[in-house]
Amino acid sequence: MEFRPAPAGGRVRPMLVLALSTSTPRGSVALVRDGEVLGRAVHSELRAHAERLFAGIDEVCARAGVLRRQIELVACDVGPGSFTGVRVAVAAAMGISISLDVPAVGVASVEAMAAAALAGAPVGARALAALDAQKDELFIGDYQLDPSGALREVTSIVAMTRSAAAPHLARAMQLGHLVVGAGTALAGVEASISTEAVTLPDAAFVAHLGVLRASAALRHGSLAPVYVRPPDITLSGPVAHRPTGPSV
Amino acid sequence: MTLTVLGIETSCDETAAAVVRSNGDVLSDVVRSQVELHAPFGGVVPEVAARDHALALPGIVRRALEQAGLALADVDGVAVTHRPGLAGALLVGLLTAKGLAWGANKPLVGVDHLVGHLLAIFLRRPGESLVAPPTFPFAALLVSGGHTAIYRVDDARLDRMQELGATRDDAAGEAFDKVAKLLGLGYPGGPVVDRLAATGVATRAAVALPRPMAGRSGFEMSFSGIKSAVARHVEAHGVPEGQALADLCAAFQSAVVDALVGKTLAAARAEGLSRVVLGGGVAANRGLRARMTEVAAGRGVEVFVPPLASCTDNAAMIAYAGALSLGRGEAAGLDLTPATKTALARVTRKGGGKRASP
Repeated sequence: MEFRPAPAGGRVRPMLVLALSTSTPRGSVALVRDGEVLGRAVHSELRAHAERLFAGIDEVCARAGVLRRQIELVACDVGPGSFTGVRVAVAAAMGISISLDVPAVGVASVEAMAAAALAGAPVGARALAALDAQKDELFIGDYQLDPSGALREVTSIVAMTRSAAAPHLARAMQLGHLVVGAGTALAGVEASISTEAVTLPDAAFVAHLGVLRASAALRHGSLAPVYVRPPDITLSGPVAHRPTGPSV
Repeated sequence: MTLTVLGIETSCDETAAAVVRSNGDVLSDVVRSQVELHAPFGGVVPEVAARDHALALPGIVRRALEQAGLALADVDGVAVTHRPGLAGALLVGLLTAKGLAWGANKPLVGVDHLVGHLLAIFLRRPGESLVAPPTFPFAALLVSGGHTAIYRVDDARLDRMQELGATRDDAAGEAFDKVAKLLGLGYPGGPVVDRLAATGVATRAAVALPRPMAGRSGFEMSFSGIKSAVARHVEAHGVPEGQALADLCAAFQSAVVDALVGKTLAAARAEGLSRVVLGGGVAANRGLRARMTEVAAGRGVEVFVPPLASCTDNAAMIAYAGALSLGRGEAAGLDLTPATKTALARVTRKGGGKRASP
């Protein structure tokens, strides 16, 4: 598997990073040091993220022989994706960041996918990553590989209807850009690459991108989820007897 | 041994964290209300609540620790409301608590929000005159925007608390909110209706409101019929103004309060309990406090009302309940999941059975 995204610049301090991703049905945890994935755990049920996330974290730490106190940075997939799913990792990351007194950094889901697609690609290469946004829409991120190994956001992440996304993605492909992600199928476009970490966000690439922007990591605030869409306005009934499922 | 616990509460529209000792001492209690965010919608919007919790909670947790003068390493555990409540809102507190517990290598304790409310009377807040807390057993009326139920509390643990009766439909606080909306009084409705009711005379109101379930022997309650009667009155005659508005508020409040007081004291008598504890946000209602105290006194029942900060949603009660659980060796695994319903044994089926006709 292509889990060694080497930053082209090589200026990044070796750092032990715990990365989390729960924005889509495939949740993942990775422990990464200096581009090397020391441990990785995956689970594949959106509704089980809250239950299984910490088993995954314990598993990767045990596999890597790492003590929680050694973790220096928490990198987190902040969406877009399932609103509720995004908050599972974001809330966990903030709890870990506070308790270990280490910074937390957010990475967009579609950016992690684009990074996976662009691993090993030449500087200047561009990738569009698409995820299912439900309600007949896709979340689309558009990134270009810059000389430092980081990604530059070409346009802001959008929620686009399937019918608008189809020609948009097809045209990007004609221009030679990579078009990837589980969302491409919904627009009737065949993904340029369809490996696991490109199809849905993966914590290993969240870690990679997180390290690149570690200097901008938060020590005091809160990670801000990227929802793209405004909240659904449905009123709750009495909380005791009207359960409300996750949105999106 | 006294345990010190960090508590977290995000089950509805308050983001809260607190540090409390197992003897009830409140070392810090930070609460951030989202009420203004939800006001334009006239009720709590789950997705809006969850989004705001996620942004606010880290700062609230840091402040609670700071105000207690403690580091996470100094506490004995992390307690969190994991039920009942809005699923998305609960998840934010639960996952943050898991992260805190994992990073600090401390035990995690899941607390039922209603158990927290039922034990809030035991919190000892700095600067408050020390009132002797009730001894077990006691009857408790828990009344808020989301819950309205009467309990028998035999001890400070979930399996020794039993529902005796609850509302079959709207929570009392929900009825206040809906009536306030009908009368154009804004959201939340409790405080403004309470204020207007204080200047009104219930018997002078132009409408006779029903007393649902009053003639029944059980301890179930119903508030939607009272609200509907107000709605029909407003539909037929328009929203009253001035004194007539105050009188209508007084009539509505008295109908709700009479039901709460009547059923609670009847339940206490049936159970042979001589102490009644109030809890939940609607326990702040002056009409309810006054009427409960007055009627109870006539029956030789002692009433215990927590200070306002302990009535409304807060994390101190969660930390306290969690500290007691931890003292009994009850810790949760990091696979703890949220639930929208309480774990307390219930006897009233919501929306079930025959409704009382207005």
